[in-house]
Amino acid sequence: MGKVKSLISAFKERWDAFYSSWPEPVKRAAVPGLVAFFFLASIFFPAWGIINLYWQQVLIYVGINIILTLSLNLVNGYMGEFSVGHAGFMAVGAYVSSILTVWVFPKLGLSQYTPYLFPLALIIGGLAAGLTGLVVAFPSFRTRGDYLAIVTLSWNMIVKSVLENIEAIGGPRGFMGMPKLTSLAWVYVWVVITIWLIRNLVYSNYGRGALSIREDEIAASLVSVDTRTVKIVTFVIASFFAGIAGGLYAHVLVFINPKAFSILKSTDILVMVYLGGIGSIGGSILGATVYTVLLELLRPLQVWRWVIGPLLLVFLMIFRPHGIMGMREWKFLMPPEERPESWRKERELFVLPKLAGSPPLRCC
Amino acid sequence: MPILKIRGLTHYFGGLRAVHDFNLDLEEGELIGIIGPNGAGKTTVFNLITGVYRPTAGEIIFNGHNLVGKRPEQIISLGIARTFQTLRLFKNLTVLDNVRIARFSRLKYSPVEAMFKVGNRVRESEKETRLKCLELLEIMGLADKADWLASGLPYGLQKRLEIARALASEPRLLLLDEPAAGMNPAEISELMELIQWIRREFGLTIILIEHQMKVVMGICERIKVLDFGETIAEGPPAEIQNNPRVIEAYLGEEAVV
Repeated sequence: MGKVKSLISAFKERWDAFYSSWPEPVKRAAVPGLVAFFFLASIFFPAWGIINLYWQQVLIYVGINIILTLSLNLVNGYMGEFSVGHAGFMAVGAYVSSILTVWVFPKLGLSQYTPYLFPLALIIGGLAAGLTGLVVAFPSFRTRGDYLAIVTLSWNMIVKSVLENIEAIGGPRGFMGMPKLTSLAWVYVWVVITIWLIRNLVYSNYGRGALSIREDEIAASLVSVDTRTVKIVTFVIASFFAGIAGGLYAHVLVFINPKAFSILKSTDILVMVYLGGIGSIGGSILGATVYTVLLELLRPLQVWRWVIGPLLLVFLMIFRPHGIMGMREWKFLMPPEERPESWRKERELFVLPKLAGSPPLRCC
Repeated sequence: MPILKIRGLTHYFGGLRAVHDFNLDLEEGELIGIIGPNGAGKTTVFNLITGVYRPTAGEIIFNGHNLVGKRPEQIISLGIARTFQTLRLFKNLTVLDNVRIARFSRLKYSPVEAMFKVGNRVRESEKETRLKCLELLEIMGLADKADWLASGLPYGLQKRLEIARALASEPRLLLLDEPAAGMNPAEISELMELIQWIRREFGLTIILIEHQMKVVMGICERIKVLDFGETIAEGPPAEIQNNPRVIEAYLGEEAVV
């Protein structure tokens, strides 16, 4: 363990030295450049046959799981509440967007435009999920403590049984007939959008309000954070992204049934959140990727692979309770103005020159 | 007109009377102290003013607003800030973040705008917040530790950070709950200078709860003494020091003779 750590820190040191040698414009273009490169790769690599269909599928699931993990991390990690029914919101997004692409768009005579209307279907699915999120959040945040876990747990079960009992959308048999619209490129675009939006939120003062709720809710309200509104808004935003992920999921599988959105799915998402680490975008990306790929690689073990997930969680709690990178962040995922070196620059440029006076402080 | 007017403030915890008939007229710019033995109801008064508890009876008028029934964040947004007896910093957040959160009520954008970062409104607002808070940290001697986690600061600096966080919301009334607790004599005299400095510099009205007589007698213009929720004495420090009821409350009955 210690050896691995020293290896990592040695690598980090070298990388930092290498990075600081870059000229300023290269530094600034590095992240957008990489994002653009991967976008092109997500279009052309499948087209050129560099990634085969199987790994495309796996990567698509990785992407969907990143969206799910990051959005749940917003509630469980950044805000420190405990929501356990994320698959319920995913189901709402999946069914609503599927109904749009299977029934509504063709009925409006828009069949041939469906591929272009796909983002719209996803967003409407997300909004529907967000709306249900509002319905769940409103009563459960009136009280403090563990009520949210109970409410979201039952919410997940309610969604599943409601879907099982609506014959029009297939009931327990499931709903099918969606065109296979989710491609690697689409998933990639949504992952980038999700990361960007959630990053902007958690690095704004509004998002910091959510963080302060995790740290100390009473103290937060006593430094003017409107804790109730922040909790509801954050929960709705998380539900929205779960709905988006649900829509993407439905259109890659082209078949959904209520069972796919059971409490087991919610547990998977929870495992990914805590594996990656709470309060971290990088952690969510790692957690979702490691877990998805690992389960895929363990396919030969058949049923036994379902032992690995829980076991992983147990070992995680013992050896690394913070997850892979709990409450830490890769620097490149932070907005440039939020990095400490930029604070130091601002301090020298704007604060020190116009400082009027300071109290007599001797110590420290 | 007093900035804070409290009339007949009474609070019960079940059958226990924590505060009874507490009255206060606080003029703008005053610095008053509240003292009393442990359990006298001092912190409860702060919790009632800031809306943590809802008083059983009585009224609290701050700057023309009735505070009774308002939620804490609404009360704080009106221009009151407080510190805590036991430190309540956001331990896993950076020093700068701790201070910035206190400007939450001054947000000029919606969460959706924050996510899309459209136009300059969010950027400008964030920059303004950042610079104001960096300046405040500079003043309080914490700027070089802006990126430290709050839990990583030594105790004395954590206390100072809590005062900085309270000042960040640009309050008019500051409630300090035992700021000198756990400090050595040198730190205490520094704290006294600090309190007087921020009071002058930020034009604050301050209520101070304190056990350290050196602090209370040294800087307060007026002192209220609580015992079992009752106000037993009120007046300038010299008067309080010789008040037989105060001596009784602190030292027991025998000492009076």
